[in-house]
Amino acid sequence: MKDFRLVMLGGVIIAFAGIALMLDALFSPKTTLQSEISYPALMSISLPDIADKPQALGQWQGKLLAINFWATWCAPCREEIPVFSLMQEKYAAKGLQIVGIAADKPDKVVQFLKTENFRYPALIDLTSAMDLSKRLGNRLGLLPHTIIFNAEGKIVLNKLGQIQESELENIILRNLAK
Amino acid sequence: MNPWFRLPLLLLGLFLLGTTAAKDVELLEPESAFRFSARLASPQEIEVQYRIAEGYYMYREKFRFEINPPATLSGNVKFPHGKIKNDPLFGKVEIYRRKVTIRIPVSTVSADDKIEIYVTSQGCADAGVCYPKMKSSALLGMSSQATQNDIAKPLSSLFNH
Repeated sequence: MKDFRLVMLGGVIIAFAGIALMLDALFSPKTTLQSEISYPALMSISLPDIADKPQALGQWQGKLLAINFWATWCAPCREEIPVFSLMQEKYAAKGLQIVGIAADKPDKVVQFLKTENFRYPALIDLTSAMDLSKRLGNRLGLLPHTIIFNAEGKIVLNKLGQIQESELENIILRNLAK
Repeated sequence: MNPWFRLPLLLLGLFLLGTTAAKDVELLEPESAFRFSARLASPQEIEVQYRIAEGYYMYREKFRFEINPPATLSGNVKFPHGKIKNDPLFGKVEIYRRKVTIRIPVSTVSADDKIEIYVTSQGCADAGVCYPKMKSSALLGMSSQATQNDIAKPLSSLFNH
């Protein structure tokens, strides 16, 4: 009888593991994105900020750099913005830099930023932002898209879809310069 | 077999099902996620249809229509009732899943007339990603629909931000 209980327990654990994997797969898109742009090439790119002033991505070279592509019409993008703001406040002093790049109309972004507690630089370019996201591996042009580079310029995350606070914080903590 | 040992086997089956599903999930191309078609349902009505893949949805308020020549539009576009989605940021929004058929009244089309229709739409996946606006178009005519099984092929289906 004891053996039977062990078999049952094992079966239940395995089944739950399978169901958990299935649910995870259902609610998180595949993230095997292949960037075709090198880190130095990326660092040479400039995009306009909300004041239409060009901002070079290179100014954040050497930091743990999280670039988040988003748009005001994209609900999951808007939902994750408070998480990015929180992480920026929490870890900026330790070398984290979050940059939001909006693939959207500037007037809509400016209007949105008036109501949102956006704690990191916002760059905007309706067309070139999406082109850049696609070159970084987002072939279908979906949003949100987040790519994180460590201080050496290596990609440590390249993800489509809404990012959860725990997932983002784990990556940040693993990759912040010690 | 001892019936008590069937349950672990069933649970193992669930595990295998779960892992198989995990391998199969991949985001679809927009044209596959939201399959567009359009036809002249009658000389007075264009029928636009999207077949929406499982796990994907489209927003009612994001649909836009343009008809050429513009004079052929003869009334309000008729949308079916969708499902209400409580979005934490956008509030209550109406969405469509599986299939949506939209009817557009037009002035009577004669046998030789051609109508171009351009549809802008936007949808998302339950996986937490949204597709940018999609533009689809079709060239419709009373004579052509009979040869195309009542469904005019889309001229193009392209993205526009």
